[in-house]
Order: sequence, then structure tokens, then C-alpha cells
Amino acid sequence: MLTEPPDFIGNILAKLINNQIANSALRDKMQNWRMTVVFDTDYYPVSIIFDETISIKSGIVEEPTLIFKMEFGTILELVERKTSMIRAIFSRKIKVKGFRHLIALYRFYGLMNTILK
Amino acid sequence: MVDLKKRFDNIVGAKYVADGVGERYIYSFDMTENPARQPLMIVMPSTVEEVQKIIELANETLTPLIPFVTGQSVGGLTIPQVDGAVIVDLKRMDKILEVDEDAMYMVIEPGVTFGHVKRHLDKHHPTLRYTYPLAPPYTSVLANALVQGLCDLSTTHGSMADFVNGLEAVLPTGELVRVGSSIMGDGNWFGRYPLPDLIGLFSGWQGMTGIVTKIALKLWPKKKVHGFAALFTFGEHATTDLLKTITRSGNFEDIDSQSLSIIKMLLKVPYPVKHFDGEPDYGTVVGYTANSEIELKEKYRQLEEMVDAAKREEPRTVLIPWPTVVKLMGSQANEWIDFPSDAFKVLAEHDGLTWVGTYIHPKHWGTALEGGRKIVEKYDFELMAFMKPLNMLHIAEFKFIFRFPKDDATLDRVRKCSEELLDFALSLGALPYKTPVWSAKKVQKLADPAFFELARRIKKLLDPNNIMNPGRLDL
Repeated sequence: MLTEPPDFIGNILAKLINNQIANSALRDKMQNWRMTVVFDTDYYPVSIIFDETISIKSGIVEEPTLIFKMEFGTILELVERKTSMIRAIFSRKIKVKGFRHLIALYRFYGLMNTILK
Repeated sequence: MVDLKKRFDNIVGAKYVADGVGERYIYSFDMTENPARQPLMIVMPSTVEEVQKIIELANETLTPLIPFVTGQSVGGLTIPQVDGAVIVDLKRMDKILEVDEDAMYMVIEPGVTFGHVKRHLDKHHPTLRYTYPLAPPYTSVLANALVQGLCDLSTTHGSMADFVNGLEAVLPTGELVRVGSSIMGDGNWFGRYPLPDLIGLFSGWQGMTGIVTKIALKLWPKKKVHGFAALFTFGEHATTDLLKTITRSGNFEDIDSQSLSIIKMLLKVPYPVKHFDGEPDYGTVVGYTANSEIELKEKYRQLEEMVDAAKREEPRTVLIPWPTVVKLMGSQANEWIDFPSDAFKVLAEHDGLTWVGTYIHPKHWGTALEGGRKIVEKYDFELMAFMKPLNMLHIAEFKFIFRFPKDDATLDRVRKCSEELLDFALSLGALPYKTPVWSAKKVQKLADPAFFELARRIKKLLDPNNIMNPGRLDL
């Protein structure tokens, strides 16, 4: 299980991921991921670090693989299914940096689609 | 003392009189910083006649009496202020005596808890509801009404004292009296007017004017559907301004706002919970009811409209419908709205728990919250503010809560911080509620002395031997 951090957004993201970690196939896959993803929200940024285990901390880690810039309200819209990841990216509600890391992007996009369902 | 114990034994039965070291210790303190003092003994009556006999004996022997039910006031209100006091524990008087569906009230004894009431109404009177506080289900309904506490209908209907239709009390001189419409007989507890409103002789007196043995409390029709939403806001003034707008729309039954730290406690963030830069400052639960889904949706739409207007000033303000809150926070989020609630057992992380809470003029609400926050931060406590608009915002309420280990250094810090908070609130004309003695002393220094002189005269008139909870409110 991913440790739930003491900040608000990090804690919520951790809870959402933990809900899916029960799925052993996903958990096994994530164990092999080596990347860092920053959620740069209008509240504050949090970083998700995949490195054998997963951890979340507030702030921006150095040289992240991917940066997702979005409002907290957009996360809510995703959870409420008012929009989808792909639609939010195309409408620039989510701005992504790190397109060159296509595998990382594909993995994280899949994870987000799973946890925000 | 042996003789006194025997005489109490004769009234309630030896099984219901306790003077052991353990019992006296348990009844000598609560979780607050208020100094402990052991009672002489504890007596547990089960009838009004026994209460009368206890009071008669206390008058004869000049024994101070302290009414007690479950000790959940978190204000030191049942800690004896004098030596040689006897605690009158009323929890055996636990009957719901009557529920009147026509006039919508219930008559209950002191030991009835919010858990009892909810279960009883849900089972036998499903079209009616009472109101529930942010307190555990084992809290006394009568005590909460008499100490003018808050509940989940306070936003629309005021403090729980405003729900009292009438009561029966044993006066400090032993006579049994009723106030309110039940003076015309049983089955007639519909209200407190048109009469001199003598509820005021017992409400807010912290047990100094007698022992209330029955109380009639208003019930309300239960509407067909209900909804909840969570609102996350930034800044004290922006938050209180938005809450004022929402309250005055008259659409929302309960508005219960708290520091984000408290919400993070519900998310199981461990002690000590700190605020992170950029996090919302406050989370508010807005509760609303309706007689149809259409009406409910319309209320939510109007809420969204008010929040959207606030977003023009602070775009990060968000309103979240409850199903999404549950998705984000997990099912424990429902503990936030399921009153009476044991969710706030997180507050009992340590052996110490206290708070400074006041009713205040709504114009000072934001200022009070902002100033209070600075004081709490200065003393490096967790930021745990609660606030609620009362009675359609004729009154605003705010409090700061502290959970703490009861070591000497922390107790000293708690006392200093509480005093500074209260001094600041009093400077804004606020009045503390569930007032511990130290707090009442501060109020008396600043308030119109004629009020307290009148209170002393009333107390002396009703209780010439000063046996009922002497020392409370520093009278």
C-alpha cells in the first residue's frame, strides 16, 4: 500500500491509487515503472514517484518525467466524469510536459483513467 | 460522611451510591484543562421522588450537589468547584416519555442520549426528526439543550436551547415545578408561550438553579430527500462572506465549517496535522433537504450559482457534490454527515481536549476567525477552527479546539492560548458558551455588572443555601 501523505491533494491521490492497488496485475506492473510525475495544480504541486514502490510528496521533484498542469477543479471533473483525460488534454484544461517520454505518458495516462473512474 | 452515605443509600439504594477511590477519581475531571477536584460521593437516582429526597437531604446537611449525565460537555462543567460535593448522576433516568406527532415534540428524561432519540424516532416516528450535535451518540440530549449547545438544525433554528418547549425541575429547595404549557397538564407540552418565559431560570445556568427531570423538545418533519455538498474555501473573510450568502438564501438546513486540518484528520492524517501552503483553509459541509428531487436539484443549482459568484474573487473555491466527496475521500467521508457522529473520536487522540467557543455578532465573524488563527499558530497548535451560522445568521459561532497530551508544559501552553483567544473574542463583544469558570471570570470583568448582580439575586432566591453547583459561572 502506498503511504498516504499528510497534505490534502497528495492524500486524496494516494487514496485513489490505493483503491486500485488491490488489483495485483496493476500493482505488479507499477513495480517496474521508473518515473516521476508532477501534478502541478492551482492549489500546490505534488509529485508521484514510481521507483519500485510508489510515493507521493508535496512540491516538485527535480527533473520530473512528466508534468500535468491543471486546476483542482479539473481533477473533480475527471472524477465526476464531466470530462475525460483525453478531452481535458485536447481542450488544454490539462497541460502536459514530457511528451517525449511516450511510454511513461502511456502508463500514467492509463493509471489516471483507472483511478479516476 | 458515613452517616451521609447511609442516608443517600436509604434514598436510592446502596448499589447506586459510590464513594470508592476509583469512582471519585473518574468523576473528578474531564478532558479539559480545568483543574480536577474529587467529589465526596456519587448518587444515581432513578425517579423524580428520589431527586427530591436527595435535594432535601442536601439542604439539611448543606451538601453541594452537581447534576451530571454523561460528562461530555468538554467544558469542565461537572467538575466540583468546592470540596465535599456530591455528584447526582442522572443517567438511570433514561426514558423517552412521550412523542407527540401533532404538536411535534418529545418529552424525555435527563439520561436520554442522542443515540436513543435517533433510534426511537427512526423506528416509531419515521416522519419526524430531532436535531443532532457534532458529538458522540452517547451525549445527553437534555444537558446539551440546557447548556445551549449547537446541532445540525442550528443554522436554521438556533441553539438547542431554542428547541425547549418546557421542562420539569426540582428546585434547590425541593419543590417540583413545571414551566411552559404543560402547567395545564400532561400531554400538553406544545410551547413556552404565552407565559413569562421561565425556561430562562434553567437554560444556561449550568445546574445552579435546580435539577431538570423532564424536558420537552421540538421535533421537525423529516423531508423526503436530502443532499450534502462540500465547499472548500480560502481566507477567513472570503469564507465567512460566502457562508453568509449561502445562509441567508434560506435554502440550506446545516452549514458546518471547519479548518481543513479537521478534514485531514477524518482522512486519517496522523497527529500533528499541519497546514500546507496552497491548501484550502476551510471545508464546509452544506446540508439541505427537499420534498422532491426537483426541489433538491434546484437548491444545489442555486448553491452552485453562489459559489460561482465567489469564484470571481477566488477561483480556487470549489463545491463538490457528496458522491464525488465519497469517491475522493472514501466512505469515511460519510461519518462527516451522519449525526450524531462518532467521527470526531480523532479529537480524543490524547488525554486532553478543550476549546474556546463563542457566539459573536456576524459582522465580526471573519475578523474573529482571522485573529484566532494567528493566536493558535503563535502557540503552535493544530489549526482546528469550527464555525456555524446560527438561526439564519442572527448569530455567528466560532470555536478553536485543541487536542493535547496533559503534561504540565502543554497544559500551560493550552491555558495561555485559550486565554488569549478568549480575550480577543471578548474584545469583539463575543460571549463564550459552555463557559468554564476561568472564562466566566473574564466575562464578568468586562460585562455590565447589573446583569451578574441580577443573576446572583435569582440564584440566592432559588437556592438560599447555595447547594446547587456552587461556584459555577463564578457567581
